[in-house]
Amino acid sequence: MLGEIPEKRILQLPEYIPNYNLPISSGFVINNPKSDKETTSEKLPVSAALRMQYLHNNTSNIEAHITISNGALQIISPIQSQQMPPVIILTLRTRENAIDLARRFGDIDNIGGQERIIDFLRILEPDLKGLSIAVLGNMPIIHANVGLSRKIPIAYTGDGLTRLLSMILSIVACKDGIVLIDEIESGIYYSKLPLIWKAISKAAKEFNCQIISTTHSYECMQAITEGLEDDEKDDFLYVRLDKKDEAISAKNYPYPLFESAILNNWEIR
Amino acid sequence: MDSNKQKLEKERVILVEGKDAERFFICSLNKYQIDDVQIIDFGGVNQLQNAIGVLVNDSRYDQLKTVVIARDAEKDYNSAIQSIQSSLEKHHLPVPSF
Repeated sequence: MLGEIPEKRILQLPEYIPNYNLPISSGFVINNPKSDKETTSEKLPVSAALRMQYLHNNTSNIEAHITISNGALQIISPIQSQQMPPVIILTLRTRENAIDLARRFGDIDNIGGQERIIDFLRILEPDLKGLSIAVLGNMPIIHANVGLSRKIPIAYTGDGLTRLLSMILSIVACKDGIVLIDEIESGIYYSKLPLIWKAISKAAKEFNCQIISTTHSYECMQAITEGLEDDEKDDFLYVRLDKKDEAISAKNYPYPLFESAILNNWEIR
Repeated sequence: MDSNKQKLEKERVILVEGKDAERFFICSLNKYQIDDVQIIDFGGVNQLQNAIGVLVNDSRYDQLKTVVIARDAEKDYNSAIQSIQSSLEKHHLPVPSF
């Protein structure tokens, strides 16, 4: 977990509610390629939800409902959507959607953000000179200029650069918000993982974006100790979920504890 | 399951400072045929506090009954004791007095 923790304190563990209809009229949808944020105005029938209660800015007790509907994560809360931070979830399924990637890159490129994006990507691929969008078979595809005689689809440069681009675009789009990344190491060659951490931690700091990521990979965890700069370590927290019988508890590892565990080869997954 | 990772395996633990101390205690336990004590090297004195934190966060910590900490007193016995006490306090563990 990188970045400042928002001023919200969860009061109890989420409660699973089967056969549930959404009772609250305002909310927003995240992880939807067509609409990153929208408001609902009527009760929606859904199959199940998680109910969470938390303190918002230490003043009011908020009850929110989280559902998955049409492939999108939906947070229904009495807080107006404008007050909630932007959130993007990158799952294994969504993070390499080429059209979504091209749309997000185009949005940022249109406001002059390409150079900043490329600066972050050069941490992994120093030969990268530029990105552009070209249509292949009716699909907009991001192409990369890596110094060859012609630009190539970014996927041809390898999974690592495509995945890093997906993460960086999400971070830039979520300024002052949160990006959740599922299994961050998946498909990335292990020796490149420190550079991935270096790039996303720099981007997260610059855009004041909190990164919450999951991993089962010890190599990925070792890469954190190589990828973070000293001034980024205070913003890092590793959380291990410990299951005993049916109860799950969270064990927190601030950076010094995390580093000690990794350097001494402790099993902390 | 990766078996080469360090983890809590026994109910009694001796935290020791450095590889030499680790080897000494392992040989001593072998000599006296004691097999229910785990020896863990915490590195240097500045790393003791974090090593205790890692131990407390381990998934088998609630099965731990006894922890002994063995470190070099260096030039100041009282300072070494205070450092150990402070490391234990940091993780809300009982602090023995001397």
